Amino acid sequence: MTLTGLGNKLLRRVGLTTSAESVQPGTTPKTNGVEQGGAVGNVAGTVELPTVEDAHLRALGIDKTRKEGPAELGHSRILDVLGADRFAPVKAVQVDGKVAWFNFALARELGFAVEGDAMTPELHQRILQALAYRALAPGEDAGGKNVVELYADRYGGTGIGNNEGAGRAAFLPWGNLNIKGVGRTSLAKITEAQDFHHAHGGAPMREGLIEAAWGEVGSNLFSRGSSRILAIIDTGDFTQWQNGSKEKRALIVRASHQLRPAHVLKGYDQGGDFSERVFVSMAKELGMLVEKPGKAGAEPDLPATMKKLIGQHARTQAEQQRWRIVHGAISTGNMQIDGAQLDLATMSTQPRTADIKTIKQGGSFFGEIDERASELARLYGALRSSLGKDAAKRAPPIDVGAELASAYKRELTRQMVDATGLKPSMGEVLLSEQPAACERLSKAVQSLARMGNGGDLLADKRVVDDAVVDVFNALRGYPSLLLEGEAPREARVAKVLELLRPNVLGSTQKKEQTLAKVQQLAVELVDALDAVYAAAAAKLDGHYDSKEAMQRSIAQRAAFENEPIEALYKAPAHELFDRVVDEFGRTGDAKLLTEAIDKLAASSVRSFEALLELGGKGAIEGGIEIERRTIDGIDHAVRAFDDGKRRVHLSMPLTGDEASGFVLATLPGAPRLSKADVEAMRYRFTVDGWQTTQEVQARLGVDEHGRPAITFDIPVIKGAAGRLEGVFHVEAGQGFWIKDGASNFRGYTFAVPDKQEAAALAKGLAG
Amino acid sequence: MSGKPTPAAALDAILDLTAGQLALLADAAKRPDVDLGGVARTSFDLLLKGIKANVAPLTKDPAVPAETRARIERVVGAVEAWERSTVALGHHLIAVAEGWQCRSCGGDVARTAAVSGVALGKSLIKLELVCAECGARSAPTPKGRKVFEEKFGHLVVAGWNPEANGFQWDRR
Ligand SMILES: [Zn+2]
Repeated sequence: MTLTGLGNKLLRRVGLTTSAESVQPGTTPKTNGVEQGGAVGNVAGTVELPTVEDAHLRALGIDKTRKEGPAELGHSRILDVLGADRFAPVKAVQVDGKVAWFNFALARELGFAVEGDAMTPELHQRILQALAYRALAPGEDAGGKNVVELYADRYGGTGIGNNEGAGRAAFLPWGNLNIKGVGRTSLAKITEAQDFHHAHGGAPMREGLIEAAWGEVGSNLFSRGSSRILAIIDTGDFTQWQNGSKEKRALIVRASHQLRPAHVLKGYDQGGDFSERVFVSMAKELGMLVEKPGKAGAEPDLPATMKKLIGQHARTQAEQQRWRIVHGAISTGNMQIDGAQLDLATMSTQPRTADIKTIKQGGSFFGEIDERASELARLYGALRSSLGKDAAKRAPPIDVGAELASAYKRELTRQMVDATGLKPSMGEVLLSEQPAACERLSKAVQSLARMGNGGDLLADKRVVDDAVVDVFNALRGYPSLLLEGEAPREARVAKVLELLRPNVLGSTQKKEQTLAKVQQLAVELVDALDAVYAAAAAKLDGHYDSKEAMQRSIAQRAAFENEPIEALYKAPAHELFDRVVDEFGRTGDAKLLTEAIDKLAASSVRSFEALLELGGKGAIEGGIEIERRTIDGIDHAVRAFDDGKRRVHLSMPLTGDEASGFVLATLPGAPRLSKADVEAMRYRFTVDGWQTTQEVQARLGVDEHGRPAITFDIPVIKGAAGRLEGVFHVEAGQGFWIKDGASNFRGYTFAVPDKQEAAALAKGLAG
Repeated sequence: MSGKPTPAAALDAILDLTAGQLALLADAAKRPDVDLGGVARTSFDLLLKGIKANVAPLTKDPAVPAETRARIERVVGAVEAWERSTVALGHHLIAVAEGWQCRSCGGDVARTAAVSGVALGKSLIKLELVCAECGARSAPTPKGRKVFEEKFGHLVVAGWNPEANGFQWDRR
């Protein structure tokens, strides 16, 4: 089984090549990393880093050829990319604790040996050995426990007070994993009196839940992805707040390259002698370095590299608009340098497109681009300042704001074309061949999106729904009108007006004016959409199986992708996480976190393209199987057969036999069933959030490893996407058995490939 | 699932099932993108099935007082009558459509089924599957037709409203 994780195809989309596994041997000595009662350091000095070709490994920042630590994870590349001088060592000791949440899929991507999604005592122990460390206080005795050298990264920029970098987090030498809440590091200069929250060295568990959910969702929604959480570990610590209340802490173990603009800076906006080296090394690591011919061979082209990075940030910002997301607290350190998301605790989706903020002093939905511009300008300014008198020649000034704005406009057009439900491949054709039609559409959507009622826009403790219209609902519903056949323009406009669901506040006169404007913009939106769909219909060969297939595909994608991401509105999501942490504190039941985080993530993914690539895949008889993911011990996959059939396939491994009874060993409680029970087993499921249900009968079959299994096959049509949830029940003989439905509600979000997509996926498997 | 059913075991199973369904509902109530009414319908349905499956064997247990056994029989009978009258197309559509292919486009996924001629009775009523890809209608396989007759045949009498059980219907 190949595990590809989220990003490969998307990274290809942004112009990065990928290959299966091609990492050159490292140049630094291999080391095991952990010693009993001792310490090992392994930050490279200045080395010529071999490049990692695989974009997915690059996004994770690991070198798979250099296995380190008890779990034999790949070496943390950030240590080499930034260089030893950019870290402060942190002597840390292994701690006991409880793994409150673990990301099984990510663990596999990182090379952690783990099967299925069941926590066993043995796995629990391995996780603690590999990930559970806290800083030793000066002079503290490790008491014979494992000691390891961690590395706190040095950085500057906004939002860190007078800290000199990571004040409460440090990197493990393996997995490029950052432990947040590790304790106070030597880079923490801020005092508890200045900022208690960032001075005590701990991290609240709630932050771990938020970051974990957003990490998975962000990996699906953003082409540069997001940092992700591997584990949340409860060590029993609390933060005692000055007002007497207590907050549960945790070790939050975070994955991804985690290279930030802030790493180039020292202090608020200065560079240092390391700045150019770090900037170049980071850009090179991420495949973003632009070079030009120099006196002694190729040399970095600093402004061109900067522009390339700006382009990536423009894309991320445009994707935020498309999915209705605000980051909330953009700073030099709260983003990765290639535009991947980082520090996700203030992020929020929203029902419409109001200009919301999630913290008072943060950026707003439409205004956040300015924050991004000023942070990127700070980055380039620091780089220039570090070059001294060479700056004028080697890094001439760039109008970062203008660069970002123009790249943003381009990216926004791309995103709005995507939001019509067209496949990205078709979108690209239209963008190059019909740019005016695409720009017109983007403008029409933006004009509607930006109409506000001017209320309080702080969406911190409540959901803000103050936009005048729901423009994404119009994009969501319009294509199904087209499926119903030719309707006159007047009827189409009326339909769009209905879908826009205008919510107009103010005086009667103001209302009339606003509604008139909505009416006028609705006409424009209809004309712009019609033009784009017509242009696509003229070019469908090679992208769609037929005109009808194209219309269905558009309707399904638009409906799936433009559904508001309700579960991640900040106020209710944070409330939910607070309740879960509370309940976990009382009961110690780790299932609570799994359910909250995984459920939320499953219901929030929206990118059809990314879903096709999410999970394992392989060839099966007569076709391919993709999107293989294990949820609560049940293997899920989408099957695409060469004869055109499509099935969502569920499988539960079966042990035992007819005589002694069959056992569903991977399910909680390992239920034992008779043959009659197995054959009478049914799955009641929904793909529309339980508005309607269907049932499918079990079959005795074999799983992908050829083992006996109970399987279910749900027929689905090409181009469909949705979230499958369900309960299993058996009514036979004297028995009635029902699987614990609550945990099964975590859901399986899937996308079904059409002929073209299946062919491309099959080709990827063969190559 | 094994051993001789006893009133205590049945009670235990019913309590477990009830607690499980309540947990499921409480969980659904926390989630904004879930139709709580829909979850409640499924829960109620499964609860009835579970109660029936657990108490029905007690009617053959001589240790249970005759009066109680009679009562159990009445309740089980009422649950079965309810199940028969509310049987949903969605729960059998996949089985009815098994092996079927749309005559128009070759698709094999049925969006729903349509009936016509209710008064003709179960062996003559017209039954067609509606293709999820192209919307065209065509008859199911004989095996699919048989599943329909087994699951819905008892409903096919004059006065039946097929829409209530999830079918498309032309009112004939
Ligand atoms: Zn058809």
